[in-house]
Amino acid sequence: MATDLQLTNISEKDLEQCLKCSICTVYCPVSSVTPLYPGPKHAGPDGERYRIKDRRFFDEDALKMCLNCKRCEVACPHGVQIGDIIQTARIKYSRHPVGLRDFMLANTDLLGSVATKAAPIVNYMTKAAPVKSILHNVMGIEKNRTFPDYTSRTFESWYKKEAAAEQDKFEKQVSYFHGCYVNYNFPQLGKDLVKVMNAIGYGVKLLDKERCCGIALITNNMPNLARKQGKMNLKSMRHSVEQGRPIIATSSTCTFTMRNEYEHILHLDNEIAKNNLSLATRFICRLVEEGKVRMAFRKDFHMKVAYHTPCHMERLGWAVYSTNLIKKIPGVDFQMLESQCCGIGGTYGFKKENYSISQKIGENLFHQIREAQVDYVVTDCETCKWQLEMSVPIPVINPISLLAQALDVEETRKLNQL
Amino acid sequence: MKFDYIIIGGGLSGLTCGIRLSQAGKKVAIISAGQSTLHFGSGSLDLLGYDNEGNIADNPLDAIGRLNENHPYRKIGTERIERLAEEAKTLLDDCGIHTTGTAQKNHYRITPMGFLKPTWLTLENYATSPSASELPWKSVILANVAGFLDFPIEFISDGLGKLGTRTEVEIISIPALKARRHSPSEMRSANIAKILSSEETLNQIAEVLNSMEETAEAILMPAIVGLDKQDSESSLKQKVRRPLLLLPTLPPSVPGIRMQTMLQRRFTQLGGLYLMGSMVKEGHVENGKLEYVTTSTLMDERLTADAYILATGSFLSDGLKSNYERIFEPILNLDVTAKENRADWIDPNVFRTQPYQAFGVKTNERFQTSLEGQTLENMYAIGSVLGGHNAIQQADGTGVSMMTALAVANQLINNL
Repeated sequence: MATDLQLTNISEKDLEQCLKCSICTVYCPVSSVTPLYPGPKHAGPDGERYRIKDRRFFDEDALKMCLNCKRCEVACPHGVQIGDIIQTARIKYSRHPVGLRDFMLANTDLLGSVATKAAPIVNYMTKAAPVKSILHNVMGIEKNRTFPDYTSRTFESWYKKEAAAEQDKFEKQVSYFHGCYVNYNFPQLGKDLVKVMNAIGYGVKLLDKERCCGIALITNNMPNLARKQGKMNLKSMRHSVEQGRPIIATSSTCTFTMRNEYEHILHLDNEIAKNNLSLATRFICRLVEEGKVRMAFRKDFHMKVAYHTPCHMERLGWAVYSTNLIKKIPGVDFQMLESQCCGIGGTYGFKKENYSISQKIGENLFHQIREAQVDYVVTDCETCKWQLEMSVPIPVINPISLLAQALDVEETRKLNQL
Repeated sequence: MKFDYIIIGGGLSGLTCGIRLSQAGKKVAIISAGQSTLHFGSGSLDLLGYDNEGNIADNPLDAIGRLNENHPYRKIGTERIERLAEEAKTLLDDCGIHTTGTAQKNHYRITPMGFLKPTWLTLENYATSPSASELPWKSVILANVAGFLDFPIEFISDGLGKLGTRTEVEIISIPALKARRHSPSEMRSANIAKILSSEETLNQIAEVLNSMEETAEAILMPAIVGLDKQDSESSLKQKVRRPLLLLPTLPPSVPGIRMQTMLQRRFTQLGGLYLMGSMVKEGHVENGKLEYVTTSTLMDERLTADAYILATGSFLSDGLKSNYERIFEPILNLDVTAKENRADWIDPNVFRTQPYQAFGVKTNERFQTSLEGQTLENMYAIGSVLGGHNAIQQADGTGVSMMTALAVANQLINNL
């Protein structure tokens, strides 16, 4: 009887496991640079005890300073889902309607499908000072930030015309969750993924229907839309699995969102994602380490690289797969950067009120990168890439692109008897 | 994934063991479920503060022979402890953690409540005394930051007074620290140390400290500098005209966090894999051997090694757990030394010796663990998860962590 009591009296998100040790706050990138944010312990489990009693204790101005990096959860010795408590509180207690800026920043599919139609003009405009000034003053989008370019040809359209037909030739197949970034901004990464997977003997298919993973909708307080898109993605994944195709992605944040946030924040049944969705680097690394596929590399490939662990990658705990994979390239001189937040936090750093915080957070990491003196910074997150390329003059690429550059495709195909 | 050794737990014992094994060229992974109790550290490491009768151990090595025979030190032996203590100090130096003290003679650290406690090694720049009954200064300035909550200055002042040192309390601030008080409940040592990490703020603090009357011999202030590296600590010391010494605070502990950071950095530099925020979910035992472990983050990935080292800590770190019926080791349910009857776990008088403090994972002389009485030959336990001693009462917690970590690491390296 008494045992039952103890076993069942567990609070949501392990709130009651919090000892108030403050260790999470030590590792909070935001409270490290501004006293205006009280830090995860205070905004999370501490505040939640009061909010449960009375919603007036909800301090929206403070809580919206959380950039949802989840580093507090990684640091917590007692498994309290601190970041989730904060995000959930924002969704649950906020009564403010979502503003136009946040709506636009968060609806990446909408913005992307419009922008790609007029990419050259959009790309020109988003670099023009007067436009940036209007965006800054009217919309609240930071003028000092470099905006990512849009592509005039989406990855999906490239894939359908140039790659789709080839894929059925492969016996083994995966579905690729490309994400908004690959589709609207940087199709090259998707092309690299197809190149690598094809070389090791896997055909790459797209999901029936892919929507933005929804992370920006979650952090910008649009949970209903996020849930709707989430359900669609999960349905597509289910269908893919039924067809014998596991799902891989090249973005650590999309992967994290569908594996963790869908369940913890949106309360979706995401077993299908948890069991079948993997980051491409994990998928490939495991195949190689289990001896199921082999890779051959170009003899003339020499590169000095440093790996940056994105926050959501840190939370997934999968950086080891990306780094192990990179280290398999013989021509790579590898360096691991200490895991620190770059400061962008997805849409967070695009908002003018967050810009200076965002840049201050990144300073330590920028410094590490400058010291490292490498050809490339390698990372699995697109928004980290934007932040780092804007702040340090060193190109940033995804491990899959590095692999695509280093791979001797013909040799690799031969090794895998293709 | 295959390693030579897998260490479960990434605190002082896990990292010490991991560093030693990596130095010997072994491929090591440390799996750590969150940050460690080093974040509660005092800036000192204890080897053995008190003997079995509760008397101060002047020479810790002398007192080891008289400890209970199930004390972890007795399994190692005094001679080896003497060697390992030297090795531990060298290992810390190698990580950039510079300390003073020897295993042959305890010195005294000042607690955040103003008491003197015997200890083995103390970080450079921290206030200590060679004596148990007095301090090296006749008069000191106790300088605290306005609004800093975790430094009970009246207790300290009172305590130092009783030891015959006159104290003058000064409350100081600079603009950046005033701004930090926007979140008054978060005026914690680590947050303050992040502010006191630039030349600008250090100059400002030094200016305030230098403007005080020159009567006191030394300035003592809370450990609120030097979070990431010792640099800002040394830099401030140079800027201040009088001797400046640090006192530990209530947690989170700046010196402890720095130790954690530097040990982890060294381990990674040596090629170790540190999996932070990952919890071991399952261990598969077959024929008296642990075959593999799986973790919360790597899911179905099996992590295998020649040997596994449990360094998960005690109750505070969930290395040991209890419910209404029993005390257990949560990963493999290893055999533990705990009394059967729940009433025997605690003494109702909170100030008396608490029996549960000495409970822990059962091991043999070589720190091999056992499962239902059968020895797990490739599964060792080190650090606070071990039973047989009461760290609070004997002031030997950090010593047991480092000594057992090195003992097991050396055993593995030398194939003993």
